[in-house]
Amino acid sequence: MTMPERSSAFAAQDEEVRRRTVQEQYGVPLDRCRDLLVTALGDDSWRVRKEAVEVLVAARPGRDEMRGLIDLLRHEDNAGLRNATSELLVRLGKRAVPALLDHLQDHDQDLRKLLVDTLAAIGERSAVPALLTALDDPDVNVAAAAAEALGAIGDQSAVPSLLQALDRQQHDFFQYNALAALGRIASPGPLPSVVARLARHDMLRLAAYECLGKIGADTASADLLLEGLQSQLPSLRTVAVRSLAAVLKHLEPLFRQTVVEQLRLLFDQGLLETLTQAAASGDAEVAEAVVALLEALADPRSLPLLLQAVIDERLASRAMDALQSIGTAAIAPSVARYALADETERAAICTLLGRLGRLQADVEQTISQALSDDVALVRRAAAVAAGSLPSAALLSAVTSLLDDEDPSVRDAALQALRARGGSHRELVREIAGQMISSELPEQRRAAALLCAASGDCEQLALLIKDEHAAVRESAVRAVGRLALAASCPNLVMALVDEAEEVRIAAAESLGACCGKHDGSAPLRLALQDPSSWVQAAALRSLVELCGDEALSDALALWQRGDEVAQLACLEAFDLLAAPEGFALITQALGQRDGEVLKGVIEVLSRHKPDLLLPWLHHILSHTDWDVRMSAVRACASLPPPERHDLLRMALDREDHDLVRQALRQLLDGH
Amino acid sequence: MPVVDQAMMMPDEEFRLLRDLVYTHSGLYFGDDAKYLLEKRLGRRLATHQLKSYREYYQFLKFNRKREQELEEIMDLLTTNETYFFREAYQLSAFSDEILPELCKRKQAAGEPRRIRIWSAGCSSGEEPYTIAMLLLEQPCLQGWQLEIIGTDISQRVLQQARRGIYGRSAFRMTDDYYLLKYFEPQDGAFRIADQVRQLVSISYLNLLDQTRMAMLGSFDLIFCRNVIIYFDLAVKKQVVASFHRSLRDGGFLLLGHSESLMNISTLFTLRHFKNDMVYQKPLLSAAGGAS
Repeated sequence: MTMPERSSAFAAQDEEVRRRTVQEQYGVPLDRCRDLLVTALGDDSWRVRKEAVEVLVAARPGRDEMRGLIDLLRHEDNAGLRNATSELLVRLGKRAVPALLDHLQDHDQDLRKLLVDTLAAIGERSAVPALLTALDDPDVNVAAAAAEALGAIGDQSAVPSLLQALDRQQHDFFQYNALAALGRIASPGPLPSVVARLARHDMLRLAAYECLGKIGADTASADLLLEGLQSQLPSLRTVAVRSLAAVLKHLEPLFRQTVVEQLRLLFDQGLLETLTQAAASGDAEVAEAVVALLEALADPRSLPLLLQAVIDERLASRAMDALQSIGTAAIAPSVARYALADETERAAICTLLGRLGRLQADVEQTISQALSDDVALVRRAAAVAAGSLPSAALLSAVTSLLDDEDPSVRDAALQALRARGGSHRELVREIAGQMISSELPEQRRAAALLCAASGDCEQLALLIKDEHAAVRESAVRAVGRLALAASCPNLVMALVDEAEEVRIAAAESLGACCGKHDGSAPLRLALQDPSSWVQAAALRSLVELCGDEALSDALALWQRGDEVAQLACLEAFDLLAAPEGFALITQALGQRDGEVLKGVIEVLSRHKPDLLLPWLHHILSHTDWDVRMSAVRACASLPPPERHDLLRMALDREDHDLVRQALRQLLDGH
Repeated sequence: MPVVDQAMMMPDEEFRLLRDLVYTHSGLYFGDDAKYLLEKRLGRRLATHQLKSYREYYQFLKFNRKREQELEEIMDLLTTNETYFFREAYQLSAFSDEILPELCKRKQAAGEPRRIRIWSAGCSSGEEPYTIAMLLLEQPCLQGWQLEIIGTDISQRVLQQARRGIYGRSAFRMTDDYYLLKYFEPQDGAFRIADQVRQLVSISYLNLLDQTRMAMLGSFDLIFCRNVIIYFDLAVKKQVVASFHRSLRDGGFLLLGHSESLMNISTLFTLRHFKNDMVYQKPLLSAAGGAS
């Protein structure tokens, strides 16, 4: 299509035709389609504007063309054009920064503000010096945007300038943004005096509390937030809750205890109501903070709120820890609530009673009732609790759940019986004996686990010969756990079982059951097994039995094995601290990929970091971030002078946040 | 409802590795704030396989011969979310009162075959495709038409439930008794979907990243994909939405969840303002409309 044709097509009324016309400009030199694309950036339709942004991003405009684009931001009458242009400049990213900086002294304050916002969205650190200057912009909107941009870019070097600007600039709007920026980039530490002052300023209290939640790490910060908990304004109280929980994490135990005592005093003055309202705010972070404060308080009056928190998957674990922190004082109120509780709460109460582990009549009665609940979730929780309570009656009741319709309940019942196999040996053996004759393999498998838990070797010897592979596997593992020397011949036979799972279990168990004399030869044969998982298990057992004598086996397996076998070899070299092994695996540093390479790096960094040194630059540039992460950890074992330049160079090119964080920590000497 | 097990802490590094692995397999993306979800739900798999750490579990997923089977298990665990019949009623009103009559009229005017194909992408345990089927059966203008609904999901366990078509009380919290009485039969304290509804619906496994299988589904007049793309990152969202565009016939509709939009994802669709809802439409070149 020629340019005149394109223009006439573009003038057409149909939005879809205009969008497609813009789309057709992909790959067309910018000097031939600039006017059309600029028109499209200001089109009435968002679809056309978005398409124009995409095409211009792909066209990679130069610095002069970017200046022309920046001028489009002056069009006050076309918000669509300004927004599309801003988006385009953000999408151009780092390349747009020099042109944006060129215009930061422009006479038009609206343009300066838009440019600062764009720099914030790009997030490029080279803009920081210019933004620090912009903190003193004559227009407060620009200065406030600069503070916000510094927070978004996240360069900690801006913290001192932000604190000074907070002292200098008296405008609330600026101070609000600067406090938010500090919260984003400053590290937790002593309370800055200017933040303490602003926390008493009505208009800025909320922002100051937010900021304290990020940077507060002393009792002065906690004291301010304790005041905030008593504010008349719910929004302030909610922020104070969240920030106080964060500050508590940073306090030394002694100071923490002092703050908790102050919190206890507030408990009688409506704190529970404050926390209940905060938990209902719908903010997940606030709800987590509420649970954290309640855990610190360990007060039985918080039981209903914590039982509610258990419903939320995100909070469940922490809320249960908080309930447990209340201790035995939680038992009576929990049992009292049980009858009227919904299914989630009933399950939570069972879990709590099990975790507290105190057997008393009301507990036993509650769990017993829960074991026959209509809801599987409750039965499951009750079964787990029964496994933690020393009650033969409960254990007998749990037996009925071994053929429950819900697999998770069956599993919990089995685990409960296994857990009590030592303390209620005869009862568990009796149950296992009944299950051995079941026609269902799952039941016989469970019987094997119960035989192991109650030490019933005779029955296990039979189950090792079961017709079902899963039963044989469980029995073989059980024999291994019991370290039954008499079962050694059976385990050797299991090494040639047709099922891979059984052979793996046998190879794992041989190390525990057979002595060096009887076990080493079959295990060496198992190193030739076609399954690398069997090879790996055999090598681990061989190392356990023969120690240094297994080194030659590991060296040989390393040469011919796959990743699974090689990971087992690395464990062997690590355990045996074998120089021959280290020399061998060093050869792999330039070629190997993924998990094995990570293992090699970890083993060498523990034993022979000097062998790693020539390779570190290479590994720190590896394409996989997790390999680079292993290399960074390995650098910690090198003397600081040797690692500093390597790490600095790695940081300059690193783009993965976790690896960057690890590099920074190492460079800062953490 | 969560089960409170004592889960092992998942280190950040293993979280990223497992997250990336799930992403590569399925396109499902878990942000840093969803770490707790992977920790709790995958923690159970460590116990099942008697593994000591998430690192071992990662290696299991990379190297074990049963890794594909285990990945399917993970999909089941990570994509389990509660749903129910007649969810997002205002959108269903737009569907039955405005979109379907428009589709009928357009097809009749163009002399096209009297046939409507609808895809429920991410159908979970089947409540959505069966809801659509009931609404189609209630449409006077579709009497005698050939109707077909394809429900797909990445979780094999929920597909089994969808095919079984038996639902407990909680699935009917937004269902008018009229539908319950007309299209369900009581069965052992639950309700079984009637055969006349089931006949319209086919349930199938599909990973939305699998272009080949997606192409095999054919073209559609309408795609429901509600509360699914929220689990994808931008790159996969773009890929999936482009696939929907290819799968839709000209003028076909894409119905997303109430919190979802195509903002910054695609310009391929126009946004139609119906009385009951706003819906994306694959443009008909000759058609007017398409609000900006």
